[in-house]
Amino acid sequence: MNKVVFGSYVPVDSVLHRLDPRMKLLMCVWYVILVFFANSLWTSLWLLLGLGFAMVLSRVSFRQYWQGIRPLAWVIVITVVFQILFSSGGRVYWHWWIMSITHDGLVNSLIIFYRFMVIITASTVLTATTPTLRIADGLDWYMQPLKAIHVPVNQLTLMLSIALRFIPTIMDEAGKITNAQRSRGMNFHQGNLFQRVKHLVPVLIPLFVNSFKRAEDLATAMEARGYDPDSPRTHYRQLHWHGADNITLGLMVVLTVILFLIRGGVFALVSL
Amino acid sequence: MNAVTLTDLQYQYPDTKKPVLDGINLNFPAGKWTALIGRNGSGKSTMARLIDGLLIARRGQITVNGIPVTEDNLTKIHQHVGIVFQNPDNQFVGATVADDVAFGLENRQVPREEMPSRIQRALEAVDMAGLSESEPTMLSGGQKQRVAIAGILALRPQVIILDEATSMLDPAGRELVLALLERLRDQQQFTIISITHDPAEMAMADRVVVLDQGKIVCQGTTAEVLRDVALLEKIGVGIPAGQQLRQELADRGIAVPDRYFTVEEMVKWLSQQL
Amino acid sequence: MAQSAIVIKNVGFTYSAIAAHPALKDLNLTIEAGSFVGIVGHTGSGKSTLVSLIDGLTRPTSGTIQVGPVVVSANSSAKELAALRQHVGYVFQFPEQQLFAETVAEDIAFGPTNLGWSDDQIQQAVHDALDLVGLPQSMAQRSPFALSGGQMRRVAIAGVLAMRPAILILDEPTAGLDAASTNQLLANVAQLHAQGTTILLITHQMDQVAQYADQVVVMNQGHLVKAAPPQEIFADPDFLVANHLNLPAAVEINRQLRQVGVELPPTMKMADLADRLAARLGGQKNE
Repeated sequence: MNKVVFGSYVPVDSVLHRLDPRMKLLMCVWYVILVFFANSLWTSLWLLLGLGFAMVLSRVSFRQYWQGIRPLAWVIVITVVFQILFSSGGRVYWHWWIMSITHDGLVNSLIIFYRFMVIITASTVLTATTPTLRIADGLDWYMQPLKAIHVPVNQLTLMLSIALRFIPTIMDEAGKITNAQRSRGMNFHQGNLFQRVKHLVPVLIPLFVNSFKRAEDLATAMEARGYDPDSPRTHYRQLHWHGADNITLGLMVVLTVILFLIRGGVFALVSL
Repeated sequence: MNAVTLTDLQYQYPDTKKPVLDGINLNFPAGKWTALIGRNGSGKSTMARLIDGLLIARRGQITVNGIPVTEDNLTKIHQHVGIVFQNPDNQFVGATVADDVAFGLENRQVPREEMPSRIQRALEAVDMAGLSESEPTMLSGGQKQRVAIAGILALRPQVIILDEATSMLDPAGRELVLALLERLRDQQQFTIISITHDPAEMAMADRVVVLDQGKIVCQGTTAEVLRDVALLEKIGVGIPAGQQLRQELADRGIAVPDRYFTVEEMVKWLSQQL
Repeated sequence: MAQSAIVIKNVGFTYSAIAAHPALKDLNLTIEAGSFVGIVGHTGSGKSTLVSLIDGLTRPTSGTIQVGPVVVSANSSAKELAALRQHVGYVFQFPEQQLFAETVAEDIAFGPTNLGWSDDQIQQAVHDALDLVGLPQSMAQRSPFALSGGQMRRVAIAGVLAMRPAILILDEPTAGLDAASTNQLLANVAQLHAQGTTILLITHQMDQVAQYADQVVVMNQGHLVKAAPPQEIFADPDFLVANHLNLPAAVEINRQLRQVGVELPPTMKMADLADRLAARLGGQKNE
């Protein structure tokens, strides 16, 4: 029941959980950009160290992170295997038909593996420490300037937050409908690809019908509670930028500066 | 004094042949609990939506605290009337309990500084203050309905409508919601309109209105309406336990007084006879 | 009909390795073929988990479940679980939310088609199922989504009945229905029972249990607390209260009468209570 899925929030209390979602969003995007500047073993290790530090601060166990990332492991493995087999350059270790294992292929796949892993882990750190709704709040803040070009930012973020709120409800319902149809003799694991796709119909149609009904109910309930998309609204949830957010910002600058120093060979001794 | 009055009300959904409500004249007295009963499809929910201005009738008139329900008055009407709907999940807008209660306040542009205390008080009134940061998936149906009621209380309405709000709850959840409504009526003089199939819920009301095929077939105090077991059976609504036993005894030739009996009254009468 | 329809031996069930509490603990239960079993307990007591195990929707973590000739355990294959489902029909809560086909007939035919029946057999099954739930044959070609809520529910139940299950599970089948539809639906279920179907009814409505069941299974926090005839279960109001259950109306009135000094033998149904009372009242009148 309490399975950790990719992107789910882990409710514990930590320094990282308490940070402003705007800072965490910024931090995550910033970090992902930095990953593409890592060009050597030492720069890569340095960024890994930074990520490890954040993971420790989050007080979410490494096992929970792994559980969250594991479902994506297949995608990573397949990508890496492709990279190994189909890229060329440098010494050839093994060759068969159009596939070969080369030195460059191995190096490239290692880099891709590294980038994949740290980027996924970094975004898992964000989602594990920040409830989705708070991420939406953060996005809302970053999108405010778009109001100038008449983008309905508030409506969009309300829509996003309601969509997020209903994901677990709809997942739950999908499970129930699937069981009900299995109980009527449907076997999801039988037949060829076409037949399997056809099996989705008795699940997806009720799911759609119910979701439309839900949306209608929700719209009525929102109207009854005085919601008017064209009227201004006040906001209960406020974002608070604290000292810890400034410190985090500073740490990100330090991480970046040191990364570029290593890149530039300043620590010549270390980068031997 | 009447909180809500319906005069010559008629309503027909587009693309239907027959009006769902026809020739309705009805008053809901202020500070009283009125149960609206009738079979599925008898027009009860339509009436609830008309009172709150979620649907607008083209014939007849509705007033809430003297304000006519028209397109121009909708904001005011939504302030006076709160509705709790049937499905607990489909009216929970917020990411957490507190956010959900805040939703109505945000719509009404209540200043941010006022919100925490109003949310807190509303949640205390429904015994949910301890769960203000909980997410909807962690709550039972009954808890969600109590949050929905808190969302309404925070807006300080005069009329609360429950549209089969207890029908999807388990007995424990239902009892808590009904006890809460009783408290709201007795201590804070809310006008309550509850649409229900539950005989126990009907019995808790002050007045009962029976709808059948878009018309009012019977209305009066709870004792007056629920006394007529034959009518209830004919229309196909549930019969409270005390009345069931009265009927069974009468069928067996026992001379039971022809009036309304709650379970307690029935027990008292029997103990006097035996 | 004295053979057992369902035999559950030492069954335990845990949702996942990291779940704090098992959903079911060391459960033993035998249900005779042709019986009408009321399964009661508060929300989250394990009622739904128990029936989804009986329907082979999930594997027990430990123990065995035998339904007819099929036995499943923790390491049964998907095929064996599916075999279980051929004997069992399961009407979920709010089953109208699972309708999907363009016509009522197509939706009802879904189960029999999955079982690989011939076209003739399927047609017959659809025809019979509509009769069983009291819907007119003329409804077969209409869209299920154009029907009223009560009719949709009956179509959904017909979809399960069309598979001719020997065991029928119903989870709160009358939730949200008005009194007239409730009575009609329960009468249909009673009729199926009379024709030999084993019925497992999950409900919070103790009056329905008192009225129809010949065996009651009481669940509380994943344990099977008691399995006994309703007479025995409802004779002990304290036991019901301890397990968060309501009393049937007749039992409640009987209890209140006892408190004011009127002693009557235990009664479950309103009609029985009225009989007893009428005898006493009438008797006194003659004195």
